[in-house]
Amino acid sequence: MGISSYLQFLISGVTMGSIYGLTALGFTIIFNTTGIINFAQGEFVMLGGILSVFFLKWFDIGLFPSILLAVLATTIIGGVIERFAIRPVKGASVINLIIVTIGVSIFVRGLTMIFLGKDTFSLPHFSGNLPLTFAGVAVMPQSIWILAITLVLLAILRLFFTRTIYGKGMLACSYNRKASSLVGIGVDRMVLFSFLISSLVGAIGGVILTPVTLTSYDVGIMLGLKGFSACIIGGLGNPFGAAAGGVLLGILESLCAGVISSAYKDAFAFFVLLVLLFVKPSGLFGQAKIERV
Amino acid sequence: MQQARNDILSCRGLVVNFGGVQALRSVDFAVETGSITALIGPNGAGKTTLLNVVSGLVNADQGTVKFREQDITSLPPHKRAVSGVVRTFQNLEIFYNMSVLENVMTGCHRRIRYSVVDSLLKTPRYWGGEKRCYRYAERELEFVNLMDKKDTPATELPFGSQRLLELARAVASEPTLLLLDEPAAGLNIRETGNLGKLIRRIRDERGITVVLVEHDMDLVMRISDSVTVLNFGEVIAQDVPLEIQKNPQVIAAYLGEDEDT
Amino acid sequence: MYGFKRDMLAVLGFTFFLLIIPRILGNDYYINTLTLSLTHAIIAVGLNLLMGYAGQVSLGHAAFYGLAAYTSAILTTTYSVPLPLGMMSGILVSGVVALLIGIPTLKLKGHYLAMATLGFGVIVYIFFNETIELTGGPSGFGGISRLQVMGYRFASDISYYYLVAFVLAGVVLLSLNLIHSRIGRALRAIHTSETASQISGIDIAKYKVFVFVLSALFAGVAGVLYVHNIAFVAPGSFGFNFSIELVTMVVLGGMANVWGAVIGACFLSILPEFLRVFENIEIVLYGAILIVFTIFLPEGIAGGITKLFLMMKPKRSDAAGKE
Repeated sequence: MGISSYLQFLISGVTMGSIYGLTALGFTIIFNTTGIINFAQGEFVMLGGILSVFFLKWFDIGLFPSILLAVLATTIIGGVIERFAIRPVKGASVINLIIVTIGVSIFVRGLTMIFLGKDTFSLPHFSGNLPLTFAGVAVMPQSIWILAITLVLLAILRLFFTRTIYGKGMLACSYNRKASSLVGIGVDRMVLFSFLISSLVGAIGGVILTPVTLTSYDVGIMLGLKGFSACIIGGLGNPFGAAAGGVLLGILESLCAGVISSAYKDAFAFFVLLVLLFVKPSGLFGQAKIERV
Repeated sequence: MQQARNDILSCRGLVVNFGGVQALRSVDFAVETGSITALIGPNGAGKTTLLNVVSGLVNADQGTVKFREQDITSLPPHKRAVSGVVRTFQNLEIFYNMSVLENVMTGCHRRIRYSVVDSLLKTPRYWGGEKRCYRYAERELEFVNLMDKKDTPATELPFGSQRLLELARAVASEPTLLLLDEPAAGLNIRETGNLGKLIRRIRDERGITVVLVEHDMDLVMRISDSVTVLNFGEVIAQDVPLEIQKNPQVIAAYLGEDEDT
Repeated sequence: MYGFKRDMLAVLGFTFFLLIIPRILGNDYYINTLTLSLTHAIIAVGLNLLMGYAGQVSLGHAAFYGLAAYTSAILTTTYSVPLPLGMMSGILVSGVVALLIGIPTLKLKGHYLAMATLGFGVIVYIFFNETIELTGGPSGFGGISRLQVMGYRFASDISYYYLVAFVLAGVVLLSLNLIHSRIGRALRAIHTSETASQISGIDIAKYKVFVFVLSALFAGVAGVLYVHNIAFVAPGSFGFNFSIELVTMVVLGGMANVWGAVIGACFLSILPEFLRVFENIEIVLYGAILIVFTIFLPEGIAGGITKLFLMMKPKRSDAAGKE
């Protein structure tokens, strides 16, 4: 295999990896404020994509308005989930919180299946699907869109966490929930906010990904799993490490598919997850202390 | 610090960092066998962190912990418990899904040793073990005077009794060194008085060495043989209670602290 | 002591009840459904030890069920391994694989097991589908011999039902015994406070791995019983949805309640027989059950029944409330 095919793997890896990164970011934001792993994170990505498809079909308002509407709808769904499923079990043991998010995830998946069907859907590329060629390497315009939007989103979130009162508050929550509530940071509101941002980020990931990979009601499981693997690579609790972990996972996976076999591409993410949990559970860029027992 | 005396615990040069904060900066701390040693200091001085390091819940970034002449610095908490270091918690860690008796029986976990197969098949070893466990637990419940509550769900106990329950569970695991993290917090004067007597009895009747982190100076001065004062992660004094009360550094450290005396 | 007599009586009563159900029903139409329900109950009881008692979630128990089923089916059919040996190997494979997954994930504080088992379940499902020469791929393979023990062939559906009923009764009794021992106390302790458990000298990683492996072994037992009953195996029975169904059985029946798992398993396995639309809405229903029960009735059906019982007999609340 020549150098150009490796470059090709790299590009498709970075493309997919951006989505894993965004999913991972969503996991981290909720984990930081609530201490729970939100199993419905993959469903946000699925909803963003599939709702865009249907809004486009139903309302005939053009691609970008449909996308905006889908992202907005998913964000609202994220908020509704927090308000009506997560908040009522506030203070329950972690296992109950996890079970609720699992319940939410399959509930959303099931409703999507019932109302939108089991078919696979596609979304038009944002700006044509003619590949651009650089030095013998073909790049789809959509890949550039994905990379650009991911970077912009990361920059905005970075600003949000470091510059705004809400962002700082959420960071404070992650350090110490009890203390934050003592100094007057409304933890309830922070948790709601974390769900809104997570679902927003997830939905955007789904929207930009769907033109490349198609979508259906059940894509959320695999995306969620890979997003979580990315979190572990980057270090759970470290949002930007998680995003970087996603890109790394995407590249590794694409290499694995190209060099070894594409049938076991999906198994690879899981393998990476187990190996990392075994040798370096705090992640490659993790600063968070993961306690062994 | 001289080695003439017989120390059950000796910590050397403990350093613990949390992010940018130094919770402990080179702490030396020794506990004489058979003593009641109090550990005091203003809030945030590092007292609980020190207990966490000794019990293994937090790993020190530097330094060593020696327990009965053995280096336990890298032992996990459950192994330390087995070798005899047991503690209680400031924010009570009770098993809320169990009855009072079961809580204490869980404390006896290591004193009865029958296998999985024994439990699955209820062999005579199982019955023997459970009977002993039951007896041990009853004895400790009587010790803390909670025998009449033995079948009550732990959640339904009043706060003061939950403290006693935690104490009973800790004593039930037959420690040689018992670390108590603010055992009097949240107790009223009468309960605190009883607690003081109980701690004395734990040492006198059971021969358990006690380390006591406590804000209630009255209690500390009344029952402890030696007092160590921590401030900003450093030991600033270690002496008998009477001398500590006169120590100018200690008084300075406490100035501005709204401690009840 | 510790309700052992009560447990024994309950298990005996339960066994008796299982044995007379076919007579009550009077026809054999439902026997296979019942057998399947009891098979599921075996897995659910094991999963409840893990979830309800030790407080750890597995989203891949269908995979352990499937691994045992496939291993035994392939060994006995393709490689003509004797039946008992094949079945033992099947159960063992589930246990060993659980050990390999449990050791890295359960050493960590927190809930990594849920995600790891989710991934594991998905991978095993892919594996069943992809390795066609071994597993027959998506359409599976048949011709698997029916269970035979020392020359006796469980040929009729009713004989198989009795067999599974006895195995379930055994599994329930073993689980009750385990719960009422120092090991059971250790598991429950881990559920509420890992810190306090360690302080009490409990090696929490060891116990979590132990109960995870045990629950996988129970799933394995169910798997081999299943496959040598219907004599056919296909990946569809061991997918993610079934893992979720198992979790739902435990939550619905009642966490930390051995009988609850049995109730939940039977309920969810028999329901589709009466609810034809079930097939389309099952996943939504599972989701709804998980959410609603966790919020409003975390003790599940069994816990609800116990509560009702206690309300009617307030005098005995101390004796029965600590299960």
